[in-house]
Amino acid sequence: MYNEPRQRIDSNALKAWRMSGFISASVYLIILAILLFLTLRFDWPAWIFAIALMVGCLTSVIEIIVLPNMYYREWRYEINEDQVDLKHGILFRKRTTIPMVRVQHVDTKQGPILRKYGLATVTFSTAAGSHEIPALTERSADEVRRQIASLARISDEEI
Amino acid sequence: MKKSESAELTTSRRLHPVSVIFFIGKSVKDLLYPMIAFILTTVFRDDINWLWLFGGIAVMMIIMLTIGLLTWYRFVYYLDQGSLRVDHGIFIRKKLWITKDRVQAVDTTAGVLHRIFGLLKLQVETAGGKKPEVVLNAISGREAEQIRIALGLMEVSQPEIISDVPQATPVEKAAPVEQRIRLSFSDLLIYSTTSGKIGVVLAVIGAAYSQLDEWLAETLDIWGFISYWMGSAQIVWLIVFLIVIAWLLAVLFTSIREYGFTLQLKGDKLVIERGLLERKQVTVPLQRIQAVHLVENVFRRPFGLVTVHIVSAGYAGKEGESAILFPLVRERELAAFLARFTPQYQLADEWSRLGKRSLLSFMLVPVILTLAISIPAIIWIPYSLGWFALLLPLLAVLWSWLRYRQTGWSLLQQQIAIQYGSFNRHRILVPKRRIQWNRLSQSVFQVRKELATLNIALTSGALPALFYIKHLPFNIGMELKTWMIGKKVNPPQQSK
Repeated sequence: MYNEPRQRIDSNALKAWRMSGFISASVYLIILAILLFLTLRFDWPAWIFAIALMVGCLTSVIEIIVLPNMYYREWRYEINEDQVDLKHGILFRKRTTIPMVRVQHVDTKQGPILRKYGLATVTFSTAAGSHEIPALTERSADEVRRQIASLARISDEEI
Repeated sequence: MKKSESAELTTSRRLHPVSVIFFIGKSVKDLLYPMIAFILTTVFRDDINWLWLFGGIAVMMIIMLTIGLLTWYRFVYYLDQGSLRVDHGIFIRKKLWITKDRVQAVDTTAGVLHRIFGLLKLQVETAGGKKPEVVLNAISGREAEQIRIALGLMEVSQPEIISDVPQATPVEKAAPVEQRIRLSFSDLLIYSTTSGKIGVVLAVIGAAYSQLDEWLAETLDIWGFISYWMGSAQIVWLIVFLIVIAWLLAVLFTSIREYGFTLQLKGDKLVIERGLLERKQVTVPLQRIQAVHLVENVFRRPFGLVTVHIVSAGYAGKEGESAILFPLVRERELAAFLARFTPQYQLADEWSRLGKRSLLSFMLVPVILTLAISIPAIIWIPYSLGWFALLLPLLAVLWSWLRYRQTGWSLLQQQIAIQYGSFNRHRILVPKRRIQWNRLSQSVFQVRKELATLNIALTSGALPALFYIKHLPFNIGMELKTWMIGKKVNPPQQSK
């Protein structure tokens, strides 16, 4: 049968994703505070605030707990000399394969949150869009990048 | 004479002065909204200040004229060792280099104005960036030819040019392949009458009508007027008449655009020419074609008439417009046509089809959606007229059944063919090595039925071209995936 990709992304990714979940939650909190103030000050109907509170709580729980866990549980990747294999997705289970000869270039990128946890995202570009592996440790991201750079050998004839 | 001309092309030169008109046209387009705003704010006042109005318009005209002239003055191009260089920009100088290796397609257009002066507009397409990469508004036919030769999109024909263009060194080649096919006038008529462009025309008329409607409602009661004159039953005939007119317009426009469609194979390049008023010529290297896409729309399918499209990295243009390789090929001549013009692509004889298991998956979403619409309609529309809404789910069933029946795939040595469609039929022929990436995805429902959707991506302009095989058995999807990667036909059994 087909070889399932087996590499997991770094477990620190959970922390990083939760962190960004907390950041957006605090933004919601500020919005809610403003809303509460307006409700009290101008006698707005209470249900507006109630609904906003519920939506805010629900989204925060999803963003802080549910999604990071699911992403971490579902994500798998595998890189060998022929192909980059990705397995991901929650509602749709996706298995994406990029033949190594089609990889045009590889990037690693790092936002402030990922940097705090020593993580990086690796992006593979082909002539038809790009794909990424989120949150690898800096070292394995560099390794992956070097591995692909040595394996990828696109020929000009193909595009 | 010839020597001096081509020698000039390697030094910088300007476009033909006629192009000033096009540049002015462009700056008019850019300044149109400020101008309209200015006129409206001036006119809708109690007392119109004529001096201010005409003064303002004059100033804007002068600005546009100057911009047009300056753009032309600052726009220079030349050939430099197999690459095309363009320097342009009034305030910000932009220098552009396009090398021979990166050119996807070169096309020339001759509009009415161009044809009066015997000029051409030349566009160069590359795989990335904005499309088209370079537009040379107005150049002579000879200059266009030289650019084509320099960019490797035209064989050097006359021996005297060879000495002039050193980069196009003629390597020894087998006798150049020459194939040529021209759309006959009767085929042009068949193509235009079945084009289905009537929808576009009707949409335009509808939009125009909705704009005019408010104004008409204030001035005269047009429907009342018509029913007074002809009796209300005649309104039906009027509508039929309007539809016929729209259809005739669609036929006319399509005929003008595709008139004299000619496809030529010269060496390893395809040259497409078409158009009555505006003559358009496109050159596409065979090597750049990513896939061949065969389309039969619902009107042409019963007669076995196929439109051949190509998927290509540069030659995408506006959606569905310019990717036509040839408008009308008969099904029985199709294999021969492909063998003549795109020899790498072969028609599939046998198709693998889906099993019964997939049928429900095709129906699920459309039927649920249409039921969700028609149930409230049955309840709330009076006089049991709402029952007509049940036609909707019935249509959805028919549509999904057709989609299920159409879906198929076929593997050849190095090529995968995919068939899909509902009322129309689409077949796409993709060489294995053109597949940029592939994806097998499963929704929650598909997981339960062990089905999956296979998705392949090809290069095409700014966005990738995606093609799907929907709801195929998961294990077959995996087999196709392994086939696409290519190396191992039978991957080693995994113990786990």
